[in-house]
Amino acid sequence: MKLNIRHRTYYDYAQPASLSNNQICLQPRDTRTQKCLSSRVEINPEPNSIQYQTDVFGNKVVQFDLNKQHNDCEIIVSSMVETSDTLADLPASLGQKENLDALKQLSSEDALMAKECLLPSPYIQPDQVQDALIKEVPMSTQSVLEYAGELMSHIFNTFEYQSGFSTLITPLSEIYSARKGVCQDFAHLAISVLRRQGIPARYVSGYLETLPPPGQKKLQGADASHAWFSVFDAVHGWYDFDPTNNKRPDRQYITTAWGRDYGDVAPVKGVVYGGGKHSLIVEVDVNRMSECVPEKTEASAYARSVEKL
Amino acid sequence: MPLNRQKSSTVTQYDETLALDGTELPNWKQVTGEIASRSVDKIEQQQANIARLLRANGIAFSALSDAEESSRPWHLDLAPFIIEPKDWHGIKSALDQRARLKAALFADIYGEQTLLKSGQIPPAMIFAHKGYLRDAVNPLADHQLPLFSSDLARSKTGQWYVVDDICQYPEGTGYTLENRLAIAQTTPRLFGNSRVLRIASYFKNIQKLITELSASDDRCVLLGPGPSHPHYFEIAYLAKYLGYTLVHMGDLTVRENKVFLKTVSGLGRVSVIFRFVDDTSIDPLAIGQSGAMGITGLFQAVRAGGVKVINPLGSGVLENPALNTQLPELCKNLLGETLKINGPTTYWLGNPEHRNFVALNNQDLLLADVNNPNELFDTQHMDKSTSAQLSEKIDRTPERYVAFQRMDRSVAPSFRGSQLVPRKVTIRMYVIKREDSYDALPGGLCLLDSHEGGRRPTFESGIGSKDTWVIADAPVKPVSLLSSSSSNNDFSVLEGELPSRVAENLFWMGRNAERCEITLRLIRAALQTLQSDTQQQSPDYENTVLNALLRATTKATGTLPGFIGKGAEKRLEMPQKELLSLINDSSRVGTLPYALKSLTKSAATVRDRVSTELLHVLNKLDDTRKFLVTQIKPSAMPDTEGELKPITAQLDESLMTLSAFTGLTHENFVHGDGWRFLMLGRRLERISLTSTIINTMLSKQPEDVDVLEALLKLFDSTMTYRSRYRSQFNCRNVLQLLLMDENNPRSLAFQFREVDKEIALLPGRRQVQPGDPLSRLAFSGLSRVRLADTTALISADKDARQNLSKFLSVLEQLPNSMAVVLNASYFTHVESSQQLSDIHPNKP
Repeated sequence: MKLNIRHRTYYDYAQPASLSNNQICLQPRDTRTQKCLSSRVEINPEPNSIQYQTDVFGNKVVQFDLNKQHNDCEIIVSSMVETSDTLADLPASLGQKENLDALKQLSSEDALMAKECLLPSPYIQPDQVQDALIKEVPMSTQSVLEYAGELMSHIFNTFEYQSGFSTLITPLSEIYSARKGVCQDFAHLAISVLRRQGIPARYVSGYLETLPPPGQKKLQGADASHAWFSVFDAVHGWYDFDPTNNKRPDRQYITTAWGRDYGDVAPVKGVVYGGGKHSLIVEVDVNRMSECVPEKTEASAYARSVEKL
Repeated sequence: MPLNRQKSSTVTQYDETLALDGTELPNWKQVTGEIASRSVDKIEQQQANIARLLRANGIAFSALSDAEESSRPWHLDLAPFIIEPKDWHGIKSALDQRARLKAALFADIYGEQTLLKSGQIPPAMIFAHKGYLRDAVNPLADHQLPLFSSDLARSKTGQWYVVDDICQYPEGTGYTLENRLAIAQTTPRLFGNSRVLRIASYFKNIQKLITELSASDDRCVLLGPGPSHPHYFEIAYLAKYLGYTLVHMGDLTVRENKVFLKTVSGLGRVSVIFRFVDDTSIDPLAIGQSGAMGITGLFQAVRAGGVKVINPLGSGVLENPALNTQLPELCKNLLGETLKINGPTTYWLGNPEHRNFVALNNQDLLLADVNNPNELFDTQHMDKSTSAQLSEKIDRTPERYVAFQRMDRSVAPSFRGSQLVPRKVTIRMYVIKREDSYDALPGGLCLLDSHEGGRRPTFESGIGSKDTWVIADAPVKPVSLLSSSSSNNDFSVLEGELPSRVAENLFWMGRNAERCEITLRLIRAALQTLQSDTQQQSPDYENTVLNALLRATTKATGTLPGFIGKGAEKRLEMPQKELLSLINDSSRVGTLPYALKSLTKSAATVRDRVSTELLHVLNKLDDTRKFLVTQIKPSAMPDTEGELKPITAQLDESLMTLSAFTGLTHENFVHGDGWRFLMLGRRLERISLTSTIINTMLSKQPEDVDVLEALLKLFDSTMTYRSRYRSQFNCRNVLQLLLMDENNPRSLAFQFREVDKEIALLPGRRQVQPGDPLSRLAFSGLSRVRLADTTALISADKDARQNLSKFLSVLEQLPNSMAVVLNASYFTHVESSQQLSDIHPNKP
């Protein structure tokens, strides 16, 4: 299925800013189940320099600076992604210990990242929370992927999604005791447990297509960035799980980037000189393209939809 | 004097002065024997001389510590540490090998990561270390390691081992340099006769390295921490010695992948950054780094080739002591050599086998966090709860911990008072890359401490240091350290680059110096009046003059209410308490010690730009401040003359020191941009304060002869007045002299004329428009005093009386307006930065 994603970030400054250095990580990457057909970054005012690069995890990162006086900054990333329509079944995987032993023998890039994803990371520091959650989801003879699935369901069933409950610095212990949070918290929580169990787990950021209730029109700009986690099976590679929706990511999911945790793949980062107080507006639209239209029309429909927004 | 070899039975360390067979080593014997044979007086005098030299160079300069006496001066031992020629060859080649090995690791960790993928370095060992910077990974780049240093110590058996590798920047090289200069100056003959290898080549190689890396005319800067950092003085000293502009992170900005220095003349391209700051919080855009401080975009600029950083970003990962466990194998595989020197036997708890071993053998081991190897945990001497906490941490993150075999260090004779006693030593050694190998600095920083069981004496906790003498096989050619310096210390300001921050600090140094001087003069005048024999004067002489002075003091120092605001009447009657507070209360804004502190503070931030002599003067002023704060007690303030004398004497002396400061800034400062900002600060402050004082003192009895005399005396203009007017004091003439006489260096007109002149010479002033605010303000002040009519100003008419007051009030405010404009045009490239809001994924 082909999907259009438009992500608009808008900073409005109370006073003129003289310089800003920014970094965005918003362009979808290619994965086993997804192909990024196009991705365009538009920045207003026009930046003085813009650099496209790939980070240590293979994510697409764009850095730019604005060094003329400016009062606002708008970043629009428009991408088209084709996702695989079929969601393969989870393979029979190894148990935790066998998985670790098998991982030790591997020397691929993927395996190196998996080894890194066994360790704590800045946003996922180990504490008692993992032990408590492990008691709720004990490990016995499950394979690593089965365990990940159980953990996903458990978080979905026993935690409540509450928009705005947490900030970037809310510790996992608070999420745990309140049993509330947002997608990012649930992903971090699951990852922390998996790592504590010796299962390589990483953070995935991206988007999820949402469909309006039947008969209603979809609201524009109402989508949001999404986050979930992925687990490494030493034989078959990485498999994604979305604890917020208790679902293995399918064709409605678009992956932008992955890392050890949120901090590695923060969608936008920046420092501005001057500017006074600023406000931030984020608008995200994920729209599927009608599946039967021929390629050419699709492209122009895409262009129109970008224009319209 | 006999050499005190306290070989008590408890001392089991290796004695540096003895060979393995117990005989005295020849050079140790000669050097230490010679020093020990000196008389106690001579030794004490030489130690005092060293302290004086270090202080003069500013190493012991402590004005910036906010806690009054917390920063301990750098102590340097008179007896050097000796490295015998044979030993040196071994150390040198071991260091070279270690540097080459770590450079190979560096290239792989930030390049292809083959060693990590293959497991030759366990990935978790690298990933768990804070020094591994993911933004520095770039398989396409050429990863070099120009500088490397290690702390070395010697075990009981005389084996050298590495206490720590220091890979981000050569911390301590500034101290090494200072130590050498101080010792060579204190014992020139012994130094000259001892065939000591000279250390200048290392510093020349740094300069060479940097020149090779820089693009054509672009500058190299030395990036250091702020003045409150304990190593600030060392780094400022080194910057001055090497001739690079010392900058802080806020002075640099990244634009279009290039790095620029914010100077008073605009942005200047920087091609090489020689850094003395950690790279773990250097760029808010980097992974794991955040906030708004740092050089935003630095990693990107490095990646794009816009700037070179020495040592490169990410080199801190090589400091991980867990690497010790892999080095013997890696050395064989990568270099085809046997490892010559390593740390104490090390166990990495990320390795399950090691962890088991450590669990069983912890009595012989010390534990440490790889990210903070300075702090050692001795499980034998730990209370239960600390021990349980540590075990829990290790259980959750074993890869972050190492265990070391307990090691002792060797001892060398060092002075305690005038007695030589054995002290434990650690020596920091430095190497620099030349072609395919590393050249060692022949010498190093020898640190003394008395810690038991600990490993690394931090600079601050140490009890002192020694100069390290590497003895040559053959006579050495003398090379002067000073001649290699591209900047001569005798000039106060390095011309050329003037960062906006430095300009601002020089400006404030000028303002603060003037503020100190005027405050001193006012307080001294008040005290003198208070002491003077009132019997010989008319009964209200004291009141009139004293009150005028006291009120002016409050007004000029801004220490309200004081003698003006609420409760002033009472304080005017009994002024002692308030005066005392102005003299010894450093916590109150506007007091004398406060002003002195502000002066030394602003001076400290530009200390890489001021001469040794000026530093000396600043040190003296700081001593005065300490004296005032600690020695002047309330009891020192009775009404009797005798008791007041020490205070006035101290004030007199301080005034002399301030005059020396003024003299040095005139005579010993290159009259460039930096000097101009200093002088502008000085002049503007003088305008403001002079106007305030005249206004306050003449507001009540403008024609009071005694007040006029006091006013002239305050501004050191009595003689000028007499030579010019040969008459009784009258207000018109006094005003003429203090306001309008352009030849009187104390007059307002003189200040304005100078300000006008200097402003025209400021950077970027050649093409200014006629209506430019800075010139307009300067000119309006100048014309105001030139056009003033003294007769009209002092006319007895009541409305006209207000004229003088209004006239002066305007002049009082003018400097502030000018400071605002100066700030906007020259200093505020230094704009405050903030972090932009994040996007928080919150999709249901």
